Amino acid sequence: MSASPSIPLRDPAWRSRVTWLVLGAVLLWPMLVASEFEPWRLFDEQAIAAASGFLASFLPPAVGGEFLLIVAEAAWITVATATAGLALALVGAIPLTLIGTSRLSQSALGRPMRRLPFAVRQLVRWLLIFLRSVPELVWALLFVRVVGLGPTAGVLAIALTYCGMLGKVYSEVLESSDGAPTDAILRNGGSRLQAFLYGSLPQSAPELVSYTVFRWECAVRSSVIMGFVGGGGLGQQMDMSMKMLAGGEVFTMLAVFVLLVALADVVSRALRARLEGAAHDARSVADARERQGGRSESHAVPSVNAAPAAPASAGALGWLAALAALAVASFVSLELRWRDFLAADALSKMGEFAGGFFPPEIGAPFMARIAQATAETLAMSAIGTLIAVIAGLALALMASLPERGGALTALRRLTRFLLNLLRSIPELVWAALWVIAAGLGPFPGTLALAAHTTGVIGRLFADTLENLPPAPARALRDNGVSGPAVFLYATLPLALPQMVSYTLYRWENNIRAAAVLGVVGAGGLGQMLYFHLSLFQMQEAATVVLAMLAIVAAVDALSYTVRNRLSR
Amino acid sequence: MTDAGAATAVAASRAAPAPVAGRGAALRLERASIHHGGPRCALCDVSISISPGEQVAVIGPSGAGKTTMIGVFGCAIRPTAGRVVVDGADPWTLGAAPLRAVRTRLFTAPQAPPLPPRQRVVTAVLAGRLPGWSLWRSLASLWHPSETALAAQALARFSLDDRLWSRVDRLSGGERQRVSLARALVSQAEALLIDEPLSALDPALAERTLDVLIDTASQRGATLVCSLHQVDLALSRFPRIIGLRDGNVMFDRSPSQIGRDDIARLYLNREAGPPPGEGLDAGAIDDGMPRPARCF
Repeated sequence: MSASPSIPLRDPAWRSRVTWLVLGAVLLWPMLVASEFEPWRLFDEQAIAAASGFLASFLPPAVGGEFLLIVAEAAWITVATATAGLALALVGAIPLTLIGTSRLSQSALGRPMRRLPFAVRQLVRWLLIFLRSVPELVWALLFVRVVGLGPTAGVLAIALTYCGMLGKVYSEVLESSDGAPTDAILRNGGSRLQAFLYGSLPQSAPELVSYTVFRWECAVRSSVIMGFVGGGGLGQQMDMSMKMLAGGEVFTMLAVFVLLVALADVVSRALRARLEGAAHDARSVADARERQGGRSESHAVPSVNAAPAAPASAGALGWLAALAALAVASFVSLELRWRDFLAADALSKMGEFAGGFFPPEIGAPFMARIAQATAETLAMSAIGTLIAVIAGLALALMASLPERGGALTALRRLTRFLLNLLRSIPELVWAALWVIAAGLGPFPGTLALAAHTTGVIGRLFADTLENLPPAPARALRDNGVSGPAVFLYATLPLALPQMVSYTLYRWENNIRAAAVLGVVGAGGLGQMLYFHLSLFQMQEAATVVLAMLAIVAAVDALSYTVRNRLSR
Repeated sequence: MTDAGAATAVAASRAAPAPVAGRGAALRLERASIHHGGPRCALCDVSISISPGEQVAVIGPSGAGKTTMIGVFGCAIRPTAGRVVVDGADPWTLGAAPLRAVRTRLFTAPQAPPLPPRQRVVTAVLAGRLPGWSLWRSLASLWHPSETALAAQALARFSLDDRLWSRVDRLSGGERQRVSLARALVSQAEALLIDEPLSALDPALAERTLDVLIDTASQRGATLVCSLHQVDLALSRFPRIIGLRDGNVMFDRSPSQIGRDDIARLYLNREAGPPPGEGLDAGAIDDGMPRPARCF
């Protein structure tokens, strides 16, 4: 070729890539040590004997009529606790999202955000962080103190934690959507709510609904955990059966659990299929805009009509109505003790309980133990998430195979089933199972996080892969590029930002989860918290909770920075 | 004597770099039709034969079936009736692997450049080399681009070499379009099937860009099929013009045999499309550039 290039051919990113790789390797090593990552422990004779013995006790599953009736009632309480908790969480999360999303901010239009709106936004962000940083289990323990045993504590714990999670992810989804429609409405004097309803919602609705339904499944799992501290439902039954070493009963309840989550998956899929039409319309309009050639990034052309508010179809509304009815049924049937909660002495009881935490213990020897447990928790969550990303990506590739019949479709369905199975068993139950095979300590905790997170991440990655614009991959395929290379050069660069965002989010989530695992002896801050709470050493427990908040906040800030850099 | 005309003259007038050995693919449509569902056909019973190394422009109003025709030639769209023949064989009767092999010989460039926004330009261009790369090499090139010089040279021909290390989403629409054409330049295909390569470019840039494509095809002896909205450019640069309207071939001959009335009839009474003589796309109009003289 005749023209000679005028730019250095040395890759300017090369040095930083090598630096990050080396840094990652250097950080990985102490993490592996701290999480006591010793896979060979799974394969020594004693571990195999213990694991196979427990697995053998699963069979035959308990199927007595009376037992099934108890399980059915417990299952309903579990579902109702999750549904009512999520409904309350939505009531809080939606307004907080609308306030916290800078994309919807009028004051940020065309100039730096003003000081007051900025402060309010930061306040909302910190509130959301606080709500989700405290594990559900800790909230539940707190509310059990105030309203007594029963599902009320579980509902409130889920409501608070999930409000924080939903508010955060909703904001993220809205921020990562195409800003032009929202901007155009705000520029033309539209209100925040109008910009949301006519600009952001049409393009983000499928993802928002999909995520909410997905969170509902998570809430079902959480409400099982609530059972372990006296919140009723399947968890309480499972706790009892585990204490009686009734493997058959545990197996039956695990099966009921997997069925519940599979059911939620079906509901989610049906809803998304109905909402997809609307998303497709919006996307084709965006394509048309791009075809006008390079003018889409110009702000001189307001594209108010770029994403019309596509009406949700009647079918989707029907499903949403059904979910709302489920929420109402949950509130009615749960015998929630609002009166106790609102009673005059409830406040003083809570105050008394909260006062017990002060002042937190800060003696030097105690702080050293805190530091060690913090490192352990961080390592568990990081290594567990890392394993999950690798395994989850592999499974997501199989789970997003096209439905064209034949062996590949069979593989797709099998993988989806496996992902559902991994995901529908809570980390706590996974930890209990891994402890049998790998002994006490952070290693079974890491494996438990990895197993559950693989299911979650695999599902999220698969959804991401399926929702990508098909044109870049198609262009390469039309030119005869092989499947793996199409993935590397078209699919992966499109999916990576979303995948990194999900991964960072799950990592934050896993730090909180790591705390819960301590209950079954899986190490980290959780084990300390459980230990001190059991001994009513509230001041020590307070320090542990503060340490948890600190690392969750640190990881949150880190992932916020990384995501910001990625979205530039 | 369809392939020797103006294009070769244009090529010869430039500094001719070392020619790349290669041959063009022979493309043929035999009574090919495309129905996208519904009674209308996007391509209706069309028969066309294109010899190896020939350079053909496809013109016609919006919605005439130009993109569909490019897709059928590139074996991206399967004819619902009739057949497409590449070098004597119908690729759709072959298995998946041979079909893929045929596609590697035909480079199809879609109109709206489908490049991942966060990809770097160097990677987006080198994606044109993927059919010839092993999986290991594809993977390694993501970490550290191989054949960087090749990508830079291809970009330099479109005056984009300073964008080598930029991210695709930092480019303007016109730059993005030329990046996807640079991908065509680095590919080793025997036929370049390019859908409206100039839609986001100003008139002067459009001319230069088209010349680079024509030069490259001539040097390699690659077959070139290009759909265009720029009627004047098509008539002045291509030895053979296919006029397409409502999925039918209105004419298929050399520009010297195409009169004003042929063009006028081709674009007659299009409410949505450009009126006769307004062959430029919307993206090219408001750039403040002087409009080139039209041939009618």
